Amino acid sequence: MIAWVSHHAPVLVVLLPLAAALVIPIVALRRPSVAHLIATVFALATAAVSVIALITVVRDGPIHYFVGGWTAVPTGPPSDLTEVVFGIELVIDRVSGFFASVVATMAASTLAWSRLPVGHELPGREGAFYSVACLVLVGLMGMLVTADIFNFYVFLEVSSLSGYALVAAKGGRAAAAAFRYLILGTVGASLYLLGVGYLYVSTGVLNMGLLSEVLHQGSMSPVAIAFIVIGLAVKIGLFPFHSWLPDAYADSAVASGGFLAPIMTKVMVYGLLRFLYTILGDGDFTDGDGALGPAALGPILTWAGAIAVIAGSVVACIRNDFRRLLAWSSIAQLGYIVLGIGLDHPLALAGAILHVMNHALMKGALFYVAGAQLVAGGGRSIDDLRGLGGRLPATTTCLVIAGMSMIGVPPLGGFFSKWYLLRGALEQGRYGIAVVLLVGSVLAAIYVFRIIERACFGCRDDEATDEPPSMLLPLGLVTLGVIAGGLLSKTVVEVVLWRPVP
Amino acid sequence: MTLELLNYYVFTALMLVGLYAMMTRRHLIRKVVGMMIFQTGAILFFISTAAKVDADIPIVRHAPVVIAEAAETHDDHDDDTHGADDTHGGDDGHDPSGHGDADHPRAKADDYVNPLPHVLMLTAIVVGVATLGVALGIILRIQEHFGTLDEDEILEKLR
Repeated sequence: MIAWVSHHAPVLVVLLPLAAALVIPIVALRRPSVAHLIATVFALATAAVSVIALITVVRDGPIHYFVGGWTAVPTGPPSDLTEVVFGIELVIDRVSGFFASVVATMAASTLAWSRLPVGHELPGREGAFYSVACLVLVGLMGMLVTADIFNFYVFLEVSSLSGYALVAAKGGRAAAAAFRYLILGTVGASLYLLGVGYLYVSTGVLNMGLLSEVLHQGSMSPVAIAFIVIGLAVKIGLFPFHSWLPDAYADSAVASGGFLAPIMTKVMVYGLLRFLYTILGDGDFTDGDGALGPAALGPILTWAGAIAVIAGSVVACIRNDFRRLLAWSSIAQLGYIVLGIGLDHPLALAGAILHVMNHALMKGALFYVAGAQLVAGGGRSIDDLRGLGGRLPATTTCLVIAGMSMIGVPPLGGFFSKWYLLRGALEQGRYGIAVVLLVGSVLAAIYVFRIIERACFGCRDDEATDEPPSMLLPLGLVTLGVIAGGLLSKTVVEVVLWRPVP
Repeated sequence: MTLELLNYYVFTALMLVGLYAMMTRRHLIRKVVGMMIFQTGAILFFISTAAKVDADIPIVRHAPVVIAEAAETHDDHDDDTHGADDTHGGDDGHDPSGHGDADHPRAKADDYVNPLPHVLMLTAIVVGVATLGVALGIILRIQEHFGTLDEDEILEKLR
């Protein structure tokens, strides 16, 4: 059974949420309340399959899967001209397995959590919400497992289109935000597609592994690289292409923002990582000596990330809307991740990938708090959080832990990813970047304490109200994840990602 | 300006027109039109790369194709023309694998248009249609809520 699951894992992680997305509209016609259950169960199954696959990969090496049995990589000698190699390959290796586990777990936890917020903000539209959310998961998991750059584009559009719909679900301001997101996102995706076209014309292959081989024999088209990197940067929301992100995450329903914010941009980061390290780099970036493809890109990405860290944090410090503050903080945290990718050092890369997990967990937890505040009848502004510690004590505890991790307080997850980034920057002799990392933490302390100060030290005489377990349980588990992400960071880096880390 | 490159000039122009429309038009429908033009530019680019002078539609009528070109690409990624003719042009009909026969020479990949970009673009067109659908759906919601599709007026009301 386990062997069967891990063998078919690359396609199962796509098919499971797809099945849910198709079943939900049919079932939800009659019984809307079941939609939440189906979505949660299928997302949990996806997460379980991802984790099983990751364990298998760590033990036995990457899982290759050829859709429909069509080979995508030539197996015979090059002289065999009749061999058909147009298939699509799906691969789960250490990195994609890790991303898939994080993304599917966060998606499952958010879906489990979202029953009350969805009922609160989108009453009567549960079926549509959960179906579209599962489609987002289909696209994201597809992007993580595919080894074909055009297939990646298709899954990118699947996740993006359903993402636009999820953002727009609430109507009003959310629809306006979704429209901005759609226009910019489509430009980004089209640029990526154009880059794929350039690569295909110059190489004749679409499979990532083959592409890497062919590209290393000849020159790489800088135009193609520019198109793909810019296209993905738009989807990541990297400064200066971030303008869609705050509105899309803050104006949408809290369940939409909470579902998309922790995972969507992370998978786009994975695309960038894959492109720069697997295709343009040395092909295998799990061996601990990650080599960034075109060296010139390193400083550009690093500085773009550094500017995003500072700009995102500064704006987060002056925002008064809780979710808008979180969205700007996301821009800053994505800056950390891209900065780590650009530093081109194994330690920094480990920090970047670790930060993907930590940020997904802590941003998820903070969005859950925003949802709990909303369901409890509170307002959107951070001033409305006053007395939260009295009203929702357990939720506030989680808020404090996730916030501390955002600042980078040891031994929480956020500390270790920043620590790896800092060490990478110092080893590369990039002291300016190291300063940026420290300043970013100070700024994070400012905006996190603006929240915590109001939540914990507001008027304390409020009665403790009911904290619904369906929301508290996922929040608690994710917060435990934040703590575990810190305590187990060494294990994650050494066992899951690379073998030795200096 | 050479005529073979005409398609590429057109696709660049289309993408720039689309980008310009998306950035400068204030009406949301016009922005969506710009977006569709932008996407069409990318599609035209892919289709143009598949075009070949004197080539047939990629339906093999008589015999299995020798995918010489594809194999060539793995070796030296010099993507065009030479190769198949040199190696296999001479002895049509002596098919070692026994698929073709003397009357129907083995088909050569060189004689056909590359079907792959077309297949890819079929998918991309579907994606484009879906994008248009989602965009129009969102525009409907905006119209319902704001009563206008003018970006300036919407921004005014968002304040």
